[in-house]
This record gives sequence, C-alpha cells and structure tokens, in this order.
Amino acid sequence: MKITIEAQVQCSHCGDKVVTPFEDEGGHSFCCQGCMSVYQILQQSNLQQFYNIQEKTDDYTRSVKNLKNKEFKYLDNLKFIEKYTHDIEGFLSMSFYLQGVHCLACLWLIEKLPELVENVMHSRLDMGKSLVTITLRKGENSFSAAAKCLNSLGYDPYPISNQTELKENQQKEERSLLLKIGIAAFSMMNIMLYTGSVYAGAKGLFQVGFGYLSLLLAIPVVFYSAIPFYKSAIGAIKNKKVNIDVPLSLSIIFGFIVSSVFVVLQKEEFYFDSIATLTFLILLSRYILKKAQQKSLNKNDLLSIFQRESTYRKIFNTENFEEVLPDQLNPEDIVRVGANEIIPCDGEIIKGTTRINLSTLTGESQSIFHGLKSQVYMGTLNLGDTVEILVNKTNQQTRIGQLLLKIQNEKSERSQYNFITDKVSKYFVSLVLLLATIVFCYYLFKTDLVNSLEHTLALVIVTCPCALGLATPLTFSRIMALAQRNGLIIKSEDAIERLSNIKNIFFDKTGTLTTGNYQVTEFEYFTSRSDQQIILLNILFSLESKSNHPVALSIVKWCSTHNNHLKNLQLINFEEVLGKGVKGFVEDQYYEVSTTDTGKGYVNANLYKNGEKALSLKLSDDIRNDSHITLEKLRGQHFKTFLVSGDKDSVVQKVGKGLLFEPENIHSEVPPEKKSLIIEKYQNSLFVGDGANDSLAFKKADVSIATHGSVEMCLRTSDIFLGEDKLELINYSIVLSKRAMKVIRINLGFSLIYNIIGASLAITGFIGPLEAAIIMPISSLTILGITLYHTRNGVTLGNS
Amino acid sequence: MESRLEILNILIPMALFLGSFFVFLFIWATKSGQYDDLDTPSKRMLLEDEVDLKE
Repeated sequence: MKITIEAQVQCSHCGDKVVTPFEDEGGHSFCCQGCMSVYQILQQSNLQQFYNIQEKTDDYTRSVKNLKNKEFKYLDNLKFIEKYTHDIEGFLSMSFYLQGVHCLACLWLIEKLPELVENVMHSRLDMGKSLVTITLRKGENSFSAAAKCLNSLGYDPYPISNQTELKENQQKEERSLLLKIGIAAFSMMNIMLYTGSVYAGAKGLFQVGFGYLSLLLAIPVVFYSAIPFYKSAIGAIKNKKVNIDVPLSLSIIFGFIVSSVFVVLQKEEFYFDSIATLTFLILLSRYILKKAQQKSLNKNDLLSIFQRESTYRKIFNTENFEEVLPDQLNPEDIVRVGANEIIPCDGEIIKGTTRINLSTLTGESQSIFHGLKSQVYMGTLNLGDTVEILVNKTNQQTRIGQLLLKIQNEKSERSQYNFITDKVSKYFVSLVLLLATIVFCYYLFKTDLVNSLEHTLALVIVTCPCALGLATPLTFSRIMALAQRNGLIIKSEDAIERLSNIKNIFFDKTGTLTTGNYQVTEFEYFTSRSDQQIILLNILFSLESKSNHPVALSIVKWCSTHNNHLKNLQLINFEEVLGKGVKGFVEDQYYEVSTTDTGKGYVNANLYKNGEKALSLKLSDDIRNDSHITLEKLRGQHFKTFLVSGDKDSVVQKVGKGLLFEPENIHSEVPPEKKSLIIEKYQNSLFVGDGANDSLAFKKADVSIATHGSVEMCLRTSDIFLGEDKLELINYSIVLSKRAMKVIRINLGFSLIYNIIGASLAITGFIGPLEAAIIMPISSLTILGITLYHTRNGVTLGNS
Repeated sequence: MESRLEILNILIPMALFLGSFFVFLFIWATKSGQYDDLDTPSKRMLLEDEVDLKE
C-alpha cells in the first residue's frame, strides 16, 4: 500500500526538507512562501552573504513557516512612541524583543537593517537577551517600516516599553556585582604584595607601614565588596534562620576588626589578605552562577506575552478598524479577530461564529464552537472565521490576567525547603561560635587578651566555610552548563537540589505525553489500483490545502509525506463548511471531505467521490514515541507517576491506560485552578507540562519542567525546560541533580576534615596568618579540582 | 641597607597610583555599560572583518 518516497529536496533558505515545493523563477525550491520571500529580499538587497556566514556556523536558519504578515501601524502612533521610545539628542530609539534570533548570520542581517530600511540610522542586537535596539532620526517616525522589514525577514518583533524599571534594576545589580568583584581583586592583589613582604621578614618601619597600607586596602573590601554577604546574613537572621553568609560575614568583620587592632598595636598577626581573597573568590563564584542562570525567561510581566500581538479595533462611529496593542483596549470597544489570531480580551461575540481552541485555559485539545453572544477569553486561539467581539474585560481583569496575577503573587507559597547548605551552616555556625568562645576564654584565663584574640582569630579564619561558599555555587553553575549543552535549561540552583529529592512525578497529557496535534494514524483506500490511489491522494491534498483548520493542515502534511510530487489541482466551486469539511469539483467530478470529531480522542476524515466513500482516514492526538520508554525508566527508579489533564475523561483514560498509569493515578477534566490542589497533596513532587493551564500547578510542585514547545508562559514559570524535543531529558535532569548533590556532599565531607585539622592546629596555636594564607587557597583549589573533576562532560553523560 | 630600599618611597606610591587609575578605568567601563553584553561583541567582530575583506 506504500507509495514511493522520492529523494528529499532541501529548502534554499532554511535547509529544511521540502514537503510542498514553492519554486521561484531561478529554479530554487522553498519549503514555504515565507522562506521564498526572505530569500528574494536578500537577493534584491545584495545581502546574499547571509548564506555564506550561515554556512560557517554550525547553526542553520529556521524556517519562517506560519509567520503572519503584520502592518505594525500602531508603532507610529504618537502616544505609543511616547511610551515606548527613548529620546537621545534628536534620535529616537525603540527596543524590540526578537523571536527567531539564533546565529551569527542573524546578527549580521539584523544589523544590516539601515541598508534595508530608509531612515533607520542604527540597529544593534544583543544576542544574549534577543533584544534589538533601532534608532531613527527624530521626526521620521517609521518604526513600523523597520518592524515590517524584520517581520518579512522571518523574525517576530515585539516592542518593549521603556518604562521597565525591573530591567534597569537587574542591570544595575549586575554592574554593581561586577564592580565589587573588580575592587576586591584589586585590593586582594595589592594586599598580598605588602603582607607577602611582612611574611618574608620586613621589619621596623616597613612592617608598620605595610600593615597600615594593607588596612587601607582592606577597607573597600570590607565596606563595599562584602556588602552582599551582610545583607543576606541580616535577612536570614531576621527570619530566624542561618545561611552560609552568616559565618562568612562573621569571619570578615571579626577578622577585620581584630587585624586592625593588631596593626595599631604593631603586631605581625593580620589576616587582611585572607579576608580579601575569600571575598573575591566567593563573589566570583556567585557571579558565574548568576551568569549561568537563564534570566531572560523570568516570571515577571507574564501578561505582556498575550499583549504583544496587535489587534484591530473599530474606530468609534465608523466602519473602519485601526491596529492597536491589546493594552490599549478599553471595555465597550469592538475588536475584530481573524482566523488563527489570539483573542486579545475577555468579551462577547457580536458578529459571526467561529471555533475557538481553549487549550491555553483548559488544556483541551479540541476546538469548540462559539456562536453569537458566546463569552470568549483572552489568550485563546480563534481557529475559525473572523468575528467581532465586544470587549468587557481587558488586561489584568481578564480570566487569564487573574490567573497570572495569582502565579506572580504566590512566589513564596511553596513548601519551605531545607537546603543542604543551610542545614550545614546552622550546625557549623553554632559549633564555630562555641569553639571560639571556649578558645577565647581559655587563653584569656591562661595568658592575656592579645594572645587569646590571636588564637581566636586564627580559628575563625581557618574554619571559614570555603567549601560551602565557593564550591556549591560552582557545582551548580557547572551542572547548569552541562545541562544546557545537552538541551536542558535549568533556571535556578535550588531547582537542582529539589529535583534530587523527587518522589512523585505528575504529567500533563496534551502536548506533554502526546504530540499535542492531530496526526493521521490509520488510513484505508476503497480502491486497490495504485494509480487511482495517487489521484485520490492528490485530490485530497488539493482540497485540504485550501483550509486553515488544524485537521486540514495535518492531512496536507500526511499527504505530502506519502508523495512529494503532489500538485495543487484546479478546484471549481470550492467550499469550506466550518467544522464539517471541504468540498469542490475536480475535472467535473464532485469530491467531498467530511471530518467528524468522534469525541473519543480521534477524528474521522472521509473522502467521497460523487457521494461514494473513496478514502478514509483516522486522526488522533498520538502518544509520543518516547513517552513509553521515559515512563518505564522513571518507574524503574521507583518514582510514582501520575497523569493530570484537563481533557475529557474518555480521552485521558485511553492515554493513561496505554501508558500503564495506575487507574487511581489518572485525573481527568481537571481545570487549571484545581491541578495545583492535586499536587499539593503530595510531597517531593515534580510536574511536567506544557500549557498555560499548567502554570499554576508549576508553582505548587516542588520542581516543574516545561517540555519543548511549551507556551511561553509555561517556560517562564517553570524551573527547568527542555530545549530539545526529547522526553528522556527528564531522566537526564534527575541524573544531573543527583550528581550535583553528590559533588556537594563530597566537598562538604572534605572541608569538614580540613576544618577539623585546621581548627585543632589553630586552637593549639600552630597556625598563624602566614599558614592561614597558605592553607585557605589550597583548600579552595582542592575543592575546585574535585568539583571540576566530577562535573566534567563525559562522566555525567555516561550515566544518562 | 636602608639606603637601597629608598626606591620604595617612589615605587609604592606609584604602584598605588597606577592601581587606582586602573580601578577607576574599570569603574568607568562598567558604569558606561561596556560589560553589559558579553556575547554579541565577540561575534560582531568576526562579521565586520569578513565584510571588509570582500570590499
């Protein structure tokens, strides 16, 4: 029954395999109209070099399929310009978040924008943040032209408001941390110069002078660079907790005060170099960790995701529409929403009927018919015809807006987790304090104040928790880097520790364990002649190509994978009956495709020729290839698995049984607000999902993973997301987290031994500042070595 | 002995002065945003070279 598959043709723009060829005059084939137009723009503007640069990078351009052509007229609205642009000396600049930027060639092309669009002076891209800043001369407000050009090149630009305090704060914070590190490094190296001379035997005036110089250089370290430690320590103490920064701050402050006193008293014992080194190393390791985290995808400003796509608003008292952004809408406005557009507000349909996909809110895979007067919700997808909607709620007042507010405000509602470093710090601080008091009293009683201070200081400095302060952030950042290299993005370090203790794993159904869209799973021809079959296939292809319905798209895709020589035949009297199918005449023969949703998780599509059934297809939201193996592996490691879905019971039960979930662990028809209630009942839970309806559950679970292709809201609320379309990465993430915790435990054990030896030497008076200055970096280096060895690439991969 | 070390009277202030000079340069560079984007400039540099070669 198989039809031969021809050799694959590659798209001249993106290199994807071509299913339905689009060809230009030069004989180049493209996978879609979008790729063809990008190719033509580049040829016309003499920018063919794009392809040369792209060849040299490992990356390849993404196909620009499904890119909507937008007008961006609202960008030139004066009010809009005021809110969204920066005015610098006669130039206006606006920043856009660009979707689709990924390689060197993109960078090259985007910064060539002044050559493509008149009036654009400057175009600057920040690849890390996917932000492009476009500058124009004032008075020539043509941001819409620039945005349109970017759009036609295959990138999706979203304007970013200039009033983003949050972004500025983040930038300030990062800069100030960098300054603190730089100053600590400067002081550290200079102090070493002088203390080194003292250790080497500088005497008399030099010894005194060098002491004062070191004191002077240590002041910026203690009073500026180390501020983050104090802040975090005070914060922890206020909450009646102890964290790693408490002992760190103690060592730094106590070490500084006593050392200063000793300098004034002209004694040799001072630890300025150790204090500066400690501060520098720990700040540096924290900076590296910060850089490893994915900050661009944080949970701030979630609502803006749904406000980026522009919409059309009816101009008062006229029949015309203007393009606006959803946050400019007001209740009582009338908006027009076309096919495949996202609904920009909550409201009521006042003109037309359509089918709407509610999966953003409910997770339901099938679209639902909406007639006149039906209530529609922001963020859902209009799949059918163009409708006009009377706005009744906008932005934060909408149902999705409320859900998002709940997500943003429920930051600290997660079960309090006892992190290993905090646990250890607690005992550690009490022990060091106790020991220090004993040592101080003992020597005070036996000798004098100065002598007892010397011993106590040596003890405090030597037992400073280097392993915890330095190795833990380094381990986490190494693990994050490793994860990223293998397509797994971990956003925070506590997610790693939480993940290592997971016992219960909850899965969403649609889009997570299943593919999320309908695919042809069975087909049957009612003729055995293979030439007839090809003709039927071609007719089916031609009819369905005209429709935008997701089922039609799947059928077209299926047809072309069977035979890639299908042509669009000429159709006469073509008609699409919404939600029912398509019909039309081909060469005087009447053909009709009727699609019926059985409501049992699959769709039947039948092709009738002159009323006689000729080809029958069955489409269903199929279980992903790797779902079985992933679940099997997880169950093999004694994790309990659950299925939680908002979809219909019959569909969920079928998938659940197919994937061998225990019947009592299958939950169906769960609304988004209730998903979190199920999870709350269990401890050490991991939630794997992909839809906006999973976001609230993400907040309640100890760890959340968003699968590849998740909606952006999900990516932002999750702790971890899969950068590649492989469910097995879930197993890998657990392996990684366990390894991270193992390395941290090894380091802890090692530093415990080190500290016991160091402390006993300090107590008995064998250790002075010179020995401390040598021991500290050695212990740091050893721990660094252990960390790097255990997190090297090969080791971790071998286990997955 | 003392006389040979007199050079330190010049060297130490000089070292401190030079050091602080570079610290101020560093502070200026950070505050003017030169360390904000560490990914793109390294790539951009590669590109401009290629364009020049062609021209």
